[in-house]
Amino acid sequence: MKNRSLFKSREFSIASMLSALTVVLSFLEGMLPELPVPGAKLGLANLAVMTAIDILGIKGAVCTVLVKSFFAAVTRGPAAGIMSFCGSMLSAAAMWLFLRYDKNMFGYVGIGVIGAVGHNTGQLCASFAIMGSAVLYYAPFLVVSAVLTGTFTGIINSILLPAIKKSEKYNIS
Amino acid sequence: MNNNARKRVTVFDFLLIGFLIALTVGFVYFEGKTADGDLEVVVKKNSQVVLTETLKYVSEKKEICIDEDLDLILCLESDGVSVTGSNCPDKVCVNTGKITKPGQTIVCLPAHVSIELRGQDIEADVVVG
Repeated sequence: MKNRSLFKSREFSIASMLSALTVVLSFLEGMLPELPVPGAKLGLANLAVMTAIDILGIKGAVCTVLVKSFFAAVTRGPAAGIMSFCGSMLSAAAMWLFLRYDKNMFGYVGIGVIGAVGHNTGQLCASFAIMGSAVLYYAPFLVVSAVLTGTFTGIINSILLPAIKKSEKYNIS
Repeated sequence: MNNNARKRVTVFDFLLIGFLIALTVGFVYFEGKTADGDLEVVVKKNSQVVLTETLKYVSEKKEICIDEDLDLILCLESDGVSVTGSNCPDKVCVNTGKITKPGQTIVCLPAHVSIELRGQDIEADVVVG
């Protein structure tokens, strides 16, 4: 029983740490210069979300996504919050599904791309609901930018995640 | 937990990326095929059309304020449309720059405004009978 509670608080602290990290990363990302594609972002926060999925499973991921979208809603307005929520939620769900069930068919780069495409699809759906069909014009640009940013985050995570797992025996899942 | 750890890149990653690129190229190719007749700009706010203008008849540069709250300034020229000023936080609409081809769009999410260029031939994409 004692062990069990320790396990939970450990999980909780990792989740809150990663949530804080997503907030910091999205803030840092906002300070970077604009990418050439309108509306496209580097997706640094996806790094932390992917780590959360890998270590904590879907629970931790949902936690980080909620914190991240709340932060977006508070600092950049409700529309940005909804966009952020839809994007990150779809991205997290897709990455969780593949990280868990693809039997290592895709590499970290593939997972990163899946996450990035999921993020952009979610955002596009949200803005489609708000704005109508005009936003669909962005779709091809967003797919290309998702491939690039997803590859970027995937490569970083392929270095980070094995190291994190090795340094601590996170046997939570 | 896993006997064979996840690799950095696998063959399937390349297949996935290749598929996505092919999809995009195909989409852009078909998008480019739509005819360009006289360009018409359609401005929508909250999904309601608030302004349409045929660019051919815009002889000199014209600036129109679409949204008072955000000071969204639309700049009409004979060869294209751009958003020149906005008080919205993300400035995506301003950064989009000038659009000149049919199908192109400027979106300002905070103001719920979309600015779309249409080639007038596209209007007849569904003919019944």
